[in-house]
Amino acid sequence: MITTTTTTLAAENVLRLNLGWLDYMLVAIYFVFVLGIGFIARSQISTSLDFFLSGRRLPAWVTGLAFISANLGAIEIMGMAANGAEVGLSTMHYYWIGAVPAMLFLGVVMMPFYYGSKVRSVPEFMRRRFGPGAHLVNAISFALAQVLIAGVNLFLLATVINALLGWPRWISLIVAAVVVLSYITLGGLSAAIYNEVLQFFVILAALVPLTVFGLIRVGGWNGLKDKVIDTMSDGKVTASTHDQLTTWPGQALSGFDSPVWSVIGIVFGLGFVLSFGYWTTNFVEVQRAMASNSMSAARRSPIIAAFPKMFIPFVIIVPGMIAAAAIGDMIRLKTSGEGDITYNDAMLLMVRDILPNGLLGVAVAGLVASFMAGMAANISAFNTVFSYDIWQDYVVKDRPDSYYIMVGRIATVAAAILAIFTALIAAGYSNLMDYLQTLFGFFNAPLFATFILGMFWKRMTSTAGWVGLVSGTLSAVFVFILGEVGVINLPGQGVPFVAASAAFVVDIVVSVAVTTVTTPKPVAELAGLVYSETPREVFQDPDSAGKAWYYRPVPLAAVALTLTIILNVVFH
Amino acid sequence: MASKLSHLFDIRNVIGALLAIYGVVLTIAGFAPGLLRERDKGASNNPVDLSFGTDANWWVGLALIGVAVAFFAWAWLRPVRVEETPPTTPASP
Repeated sequence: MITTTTTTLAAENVLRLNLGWLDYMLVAIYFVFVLGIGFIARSQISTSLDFFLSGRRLPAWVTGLAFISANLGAIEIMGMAANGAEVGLSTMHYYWIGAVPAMLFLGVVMMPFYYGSKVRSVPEFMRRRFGPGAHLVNAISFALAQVLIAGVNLFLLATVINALLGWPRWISLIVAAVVVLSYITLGGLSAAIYNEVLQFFVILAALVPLTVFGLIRVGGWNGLKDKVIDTMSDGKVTASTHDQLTTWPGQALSGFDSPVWSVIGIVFGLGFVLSFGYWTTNFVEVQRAMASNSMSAARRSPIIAAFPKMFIPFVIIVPGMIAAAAIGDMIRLKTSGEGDITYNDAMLLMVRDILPNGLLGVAVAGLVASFMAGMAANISAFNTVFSYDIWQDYVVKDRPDSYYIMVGRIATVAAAILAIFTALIAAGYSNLMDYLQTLFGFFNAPLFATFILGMFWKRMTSTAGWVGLVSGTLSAVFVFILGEVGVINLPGQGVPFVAASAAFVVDIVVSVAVTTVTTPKPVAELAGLVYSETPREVFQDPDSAGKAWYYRPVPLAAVALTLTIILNVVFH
Repeated sequence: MASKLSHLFDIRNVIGALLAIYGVVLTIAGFAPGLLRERDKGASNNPVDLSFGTDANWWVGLALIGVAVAFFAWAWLRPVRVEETPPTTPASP
């Protein structure tokens, strides 16, 4: 998700699991299912819309689960468990302040524009609203970021397999790339989405027992609270026991000294700018909702996803906290800041120490599945943007539909090969990859500013679209560099929060300024793209009228929001 | 025929099948620990012993079978309606 992922793991052997034949059998069964889904989904493809958007016919619960599952990659699982081990409960903000409100906003406010305007990708919306300038900036940066992140996923998969099973990296690299490639070229987005839904249940089948057994061993929630210890770094306490057991004001997470600024940083930086930017404009996510079978289903996908999303941290962050309270190596790392392991190992150490052979196989299958699903999500979003937004719009226009399916399949193969190369670069220059990933994270904040302004302000001009986007992104990069060279000094996640906020504000200011001196698009061209010019029927769902509340987006979102507020209050 | 196939390959049945297989395998493994080799725990410096024996396998196994049955029941009670008319394709811009 929007964490800064470091690609470092413990030295070899510390994490080595002794898999038996039964564990391998369970992993093998999973692979059979994954490839089988590719073959089944193949029979459903006859148009490019089938290949790239599943023919817009999936039910809301499927697209909803795929929506979170595409994001529940192993990067997120290991990264959030690491945060749980290091700063404790304030990590919950990534879910309760970050993801959930943004997902509800996407479903309630923004989805009608995406689904109603019949665009096939987020960059395509950009083109319809602002023309080719903003479109090219968006499409190219998105496509680049996806190939890069797919490579990082692949590299981490190889690293984890190497650490857990002792296989050489290049074997897992190639096996994983070939598997992902086969099912996406066969089944397109449907295969990716069905596999994401399947992966969701397999990873839960490993994470839920892990959490329950872990909690039993440490003496329940109260036992865990008693065992949490201060996090030390260079002889200083960076997260006290109290900080780790409360979510607010979250100074250990934000790195701000002042509690007031910490709350503002988390709510505005993490919550509003970073998360809204990520969840509402990232095509990897939005594509899943676009694949659903009606406007009502498209709007409900992210809202349905919000329910599991608010409870998933309990089986990711809590195991991280248990690891930090009960595993010797982790305790040493927390008290002295040194040792053979890193925080990223928290989840893997839990798997190693808790699960017996058998469940171990389920856990390895789940982890491998989540890496592959992450990579598949990046590649399936990449091939859509590449085929529709770059190839069809600018390179080879007006060919029959079957031609673009072929382009999509070739783009998939090319992306998988590129991902292998990116993974090799990541292996050599892991710091470089971390920087790039952080930078790509910043692209979403100005994108969100441009979208939200463009959707509600019909005067906003095409020039303002791309100028705002570019200047917003540059200001994020500028703040990030200031943080790197030490002009801004915030120990936690503060720098990304500030960078994203700066990008958002600069984007808005520049867009407004440029708009005042350029000519807007004719109002007639803005129907479906701008709120005031869109017929009201688009926002009302005829097919959900008179149905129960859980079939209607807005009441469902209200329930989700209430639950999130309750969670925030209970764990403050 | 087409509807039979699409019923069989309903994603709910696919999820149910995978979880059922996992459930059965884990349950057998839990009740017949002789099938598995005992994991050598190695030297552990954990202040709390976290490891669970093979009993954990059948607890989770039975739970997974339960979840799988729920998926089969859902797919059986609310079958997908196969629409004969293809959904209208959006007009290309």
